[in-house]
Amino acid sequence: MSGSAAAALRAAFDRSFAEAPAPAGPATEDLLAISIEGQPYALRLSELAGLFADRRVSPLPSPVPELLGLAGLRGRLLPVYDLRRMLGHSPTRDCRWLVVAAAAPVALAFDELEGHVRLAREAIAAAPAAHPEHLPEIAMRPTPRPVLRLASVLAAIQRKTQTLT
Amino acid sequence: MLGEHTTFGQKIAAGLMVTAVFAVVIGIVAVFALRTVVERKDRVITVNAPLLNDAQQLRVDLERKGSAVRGYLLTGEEALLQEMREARADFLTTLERLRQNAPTDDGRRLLEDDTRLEDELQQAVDRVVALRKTEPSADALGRAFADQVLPIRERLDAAIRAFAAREQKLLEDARTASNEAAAAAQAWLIGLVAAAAAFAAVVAIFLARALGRQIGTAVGQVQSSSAELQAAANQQATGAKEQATAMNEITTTISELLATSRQIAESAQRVSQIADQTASAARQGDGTVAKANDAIGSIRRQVDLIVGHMLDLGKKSQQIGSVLEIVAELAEQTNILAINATIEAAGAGETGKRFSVVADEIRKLADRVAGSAKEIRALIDDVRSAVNTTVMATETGSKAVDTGSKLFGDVASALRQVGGLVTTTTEAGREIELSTKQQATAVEQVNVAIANVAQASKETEASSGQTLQTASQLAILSKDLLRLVRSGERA
Repeated sequence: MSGSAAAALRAAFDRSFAEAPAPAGPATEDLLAISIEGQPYALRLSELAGLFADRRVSPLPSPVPELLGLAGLRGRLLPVYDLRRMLGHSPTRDCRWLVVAAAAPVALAFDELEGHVRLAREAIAAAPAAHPEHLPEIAMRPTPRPVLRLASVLAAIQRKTQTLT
Repeated sequence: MLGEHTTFGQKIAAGLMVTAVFAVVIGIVAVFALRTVVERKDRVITVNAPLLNDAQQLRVDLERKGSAVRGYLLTGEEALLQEMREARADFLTTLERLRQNAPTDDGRRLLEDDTRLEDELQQAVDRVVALRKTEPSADALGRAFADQVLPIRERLDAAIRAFAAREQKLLEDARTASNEAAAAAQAWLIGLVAAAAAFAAVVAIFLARALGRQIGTAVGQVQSSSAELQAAANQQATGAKEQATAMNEITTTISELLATSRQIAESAQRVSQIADQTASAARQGDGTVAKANDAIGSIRRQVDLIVGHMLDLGKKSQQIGSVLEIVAELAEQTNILAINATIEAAGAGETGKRFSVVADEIRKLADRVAGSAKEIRALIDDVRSAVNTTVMATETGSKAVDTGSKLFGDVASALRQVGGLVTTTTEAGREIELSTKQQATAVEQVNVAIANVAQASKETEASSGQTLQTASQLAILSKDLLRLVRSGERA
């Protein structure tokens, strides 16, 4: 990295604190861009309670194949489900990332985090009727990316656990 | 005997030899017959004829003796007694000669009778002569003569005639034998002459036929040879013409070759000069190569230094990568914190908005740091790749330098060889120049020789024409000879 780039970065960082807050613009949506088995997905930050990396997951014997085990996150012991299996993928490698759902004490594991994306609401459109389960919308920018409906995933997990009990 | 391979001269010689043998035999027979006849005739002349003559002489002497006795008896003259004695002496001499020369016992016995009768006659004569001295009467003497002498004398005369007749018969027999011998010799000679003539005729016929056959065959062969000679002469004439044409072309080519040889000599001279210059350049190149070899050694040391620096650079890059991993980890952790802060700020409602702004800035900063870390990672990877490539290239360059150094050594050796070869080339060029000049001289001589050969070809062509003419004449001559030889056969 050149010195001019560092200076520009420093200037932009300082300017962000020096300038007044921007007036409220059009409504936006914060998305977490992830990748599962090489395919892009997006999670709404508003449906999440936390993001973790490289946390140890203790395996737990279970008839539910999607349950990877238990992980300690912020002082709570949470079940970790494999989001890949929930979306119908066959895992080929270990999961490094975990997200905690805001609506239920459940953690979901996935392959790769691509980053935080903020889009205008109109950039998110409804998916076609024949679209797979848990993916009712598509974020159109910067590239088309299915937006996961976490409540649907949690409902599916609940159905699996209720079937066992 | 005379066969197919016997030459005609041998046949003629054999025929003449046999003929000569015949002539010799005829001569020998003739000489023998002539000698035999001459001997027979000589015997007749020298033996039989003198004996017959002496026999006649005995009768003459006896008659002389009788006449002398009768004269004495009539006249009484003593001269007649002397005449009688001389006649008797002649008679006895002849008789003695006859006795000595008589060839046969019968003849000698008859002569013995004659001698005895002559003695008796002489005794009778002596008695009558003695009577004459005592008795002069003619009658008495006549009677005494007729009684005592005449009978003995007649007997003696008869004996002498018998001897003469016998000698006459012997002479006739000898003459007849001589004539018979002469006739026999004549018959032999006629037979031999006839045989010789017949043999000569046979030999003449045989030789004529052999001559005709052999000469005819030879003439046929001569005709065939003449035809072949004509064909060969024609071919030779054609070949001589072609050879003359080829000689002209060769002369032209030789002239061009001469010019080329001179050009080669000039080129060889230039090659020698250039080779001298090349040898000088090769010596200079040898020195230059030695300097270049030193420079390559220096390059090799510099390359080793570069390799060391590059390896250090690689290690430093690895260390930078390790630090960068920490930076990236920090950026990621920061990003996670910012996202979680954003989540928490969203959960805090209106009061969390300002915190959300800060979290966004932190997240952006973390994103930028992560991006920069990625870029740095990429740059470091590029640097490490470049370092590895450079190290490998440098090692390759080092090996190339080694190879180059070795090649420069080879080049120096090659240049020295080039120098030696150029020296050899110079010498070879000079030898080529000298050889080419000699070759040019030789080519000129060859040109002269070719001209001579061309002239010889023309002469050969003329000679071929003459040969052709001679062959034609020979063919005509052989036809004439064949016609002469076989004219009798055709007739």
